Amino acid sequence: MAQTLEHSPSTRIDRCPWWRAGPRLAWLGIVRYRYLLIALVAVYAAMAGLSAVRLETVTAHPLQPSQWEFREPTFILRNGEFNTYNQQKILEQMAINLTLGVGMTFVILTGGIDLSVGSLLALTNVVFVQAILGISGAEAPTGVVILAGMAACLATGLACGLVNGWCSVSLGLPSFIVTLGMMFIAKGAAYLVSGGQTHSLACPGPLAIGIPIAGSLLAVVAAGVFLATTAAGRRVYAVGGNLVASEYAGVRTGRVRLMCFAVSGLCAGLAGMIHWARLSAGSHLAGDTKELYAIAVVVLGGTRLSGGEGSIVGTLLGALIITVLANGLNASAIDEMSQKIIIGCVLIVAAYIDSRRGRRSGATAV
Amino acid sequence: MRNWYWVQAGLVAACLLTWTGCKGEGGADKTRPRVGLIMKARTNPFFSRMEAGAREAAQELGVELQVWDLERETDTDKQAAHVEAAISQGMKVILIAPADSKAIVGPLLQARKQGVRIINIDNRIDADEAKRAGLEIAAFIGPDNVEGARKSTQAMIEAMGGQGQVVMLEGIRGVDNAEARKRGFQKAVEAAAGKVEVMAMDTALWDRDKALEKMEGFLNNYPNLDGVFAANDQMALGALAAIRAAGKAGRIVIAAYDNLDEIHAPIRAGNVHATIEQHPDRMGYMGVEQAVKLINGEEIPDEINVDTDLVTKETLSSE
Repeated sequence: MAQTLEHSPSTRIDRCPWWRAGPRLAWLGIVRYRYLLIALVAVYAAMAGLSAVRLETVTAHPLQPSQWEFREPTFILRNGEFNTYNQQKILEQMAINLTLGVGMTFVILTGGIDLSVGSLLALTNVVFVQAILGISGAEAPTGVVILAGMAACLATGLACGLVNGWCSVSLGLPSFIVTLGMMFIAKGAAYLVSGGQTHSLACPGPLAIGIPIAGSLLAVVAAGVFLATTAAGRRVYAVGGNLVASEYAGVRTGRVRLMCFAVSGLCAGLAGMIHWARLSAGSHLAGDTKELYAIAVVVLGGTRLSGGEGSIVGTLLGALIITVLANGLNASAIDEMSQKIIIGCVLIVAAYIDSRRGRRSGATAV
Repeated sequence: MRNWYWVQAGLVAACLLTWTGCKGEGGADKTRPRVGLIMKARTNPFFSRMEAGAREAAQELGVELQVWDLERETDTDKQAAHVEAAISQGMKVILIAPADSKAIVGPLLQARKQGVRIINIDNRIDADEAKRAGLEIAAFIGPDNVEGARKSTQAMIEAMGGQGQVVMLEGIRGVDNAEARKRGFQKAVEAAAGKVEVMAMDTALWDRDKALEKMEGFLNNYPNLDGVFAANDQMALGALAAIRAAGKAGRIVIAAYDNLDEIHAPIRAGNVHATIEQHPDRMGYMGVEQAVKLINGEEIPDEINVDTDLVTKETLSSE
């Protein structure tokens, strides 16, 4: 552990003030994540290529297209111009997986796991919508009411995250079990709060784009800077790398782990808001199985499930790869089951390529 | 070793990029109208038949059809992404079978703003919500769920000898067709003028396993049940499993909805009394047909009801 920290380039970042850390972090990130970057470019190019082939299924079976021809690659072009619409949609579609992934990165870095984030998304999503509908009734909500709803939504996420953290730190239960329990609790609570119904609440135009894109990118930047440049961020790596050693070194490991679960809950709250911004509705069915996507995004980003190694940059790249893939397969109207197979294969191949880096150059944490 | 990987990766990327670049000049097929069908799970035979009908119409009418499906029928987030993909693909008309009749309004509004026309099939979009958001839906094509459920329940009551105790397994509450089937059930029960007693109504979320659990509970609480109406065949099959385990198969009358192939064997064996055929292929076919009319600037009716048919042992043997 000590050796890893000494030889890792990130320890040099420690002595570097945060405002100067940006360019260095960016460079180190490119070196560290070159394989993932190549994978991202390759996936992007492959999706653009795929969208240039139009398969027409005439038989009922999707795997037997009977006609095909070349056309404009709609993934990147639209009527001969760059398809900005689709690029913007990629960012919007990435928002939920990315936000949950950021929170999940914290928990996984400490060697834990948070299975409750998908259900917490549903809970915070319905709390947000119900709170606003409760205050303003049938009238269109004012800005202040929306802010109050956001506060309620984030507070719910934070509170559930703290409960997760408290149970696994103070009660000494494995995080897998605690968050599995929270998953069911949040699911049921979401059903009760919403009465099992979908409630509509129109999202004002600018927020519909602003919350998903700005919200998720803000979470990425804040979390990335925190983990890579602050002492508290270093402690997260220390706890995940070796719990006992960091305890002896004077790190309050319980607090660090509690904080990580709280961050994950907070991110789930943000994701609940993003879900509302995308669909203008609150539903207890939102975010189902999203925890698995969050884990996939984090693992794809090179974060070790055993803790102590990984970063937000990796999570961002992981989320980008998965979203670009899903968006591109959608653009070509590939059926849902084939999409699942392709995403699964890419996940395993990317994880393999990234694991080779770890074996050759030793563990680093950027 | 390390360099070799770089070379490999570089070659692959270069090939893909060149390929993409070359194909860009092909240009889109602008001669044929483009229509997108966004539906729920293909693994559900109902939707695979809907797709088959739509493809048949596309073939006959020279339409370029793209079809999107969901893995889980509740995945509203994914369906929003499908609407966005359809917009990005330049579809002129979207045929949509919504996973959530309220949460789909926001994404569809985006499509409408981009000039895409919308035809709603199968499961009705929430009318109040669409009105409030200012979403213009060109037409609705779907089955009359109330009438279908009424027919099925009535057949059940007749098989019970016109009286007795019944329970209902509902679909997901708040979803339009689940609510409509519930109304149809209640209508048929009211028509029996007090001779039929409803012991319980509960949701089994359209799910076979859930229906098995719920039915086990009902059998425990109400030992003298005479009939069950399940709002879809999957739940009816779950209920049948519970009834069979209790040794009451054939004695409790089961009525269902959807006409899956799987329900035919129990109907022939007399364990399930009736189900409802909704003709999803007709819905898909008519959807594409109406979409073409819309693109050609013709007027189309706001609402088209596809007839439902009662399926029983007799109709199956006469086929």
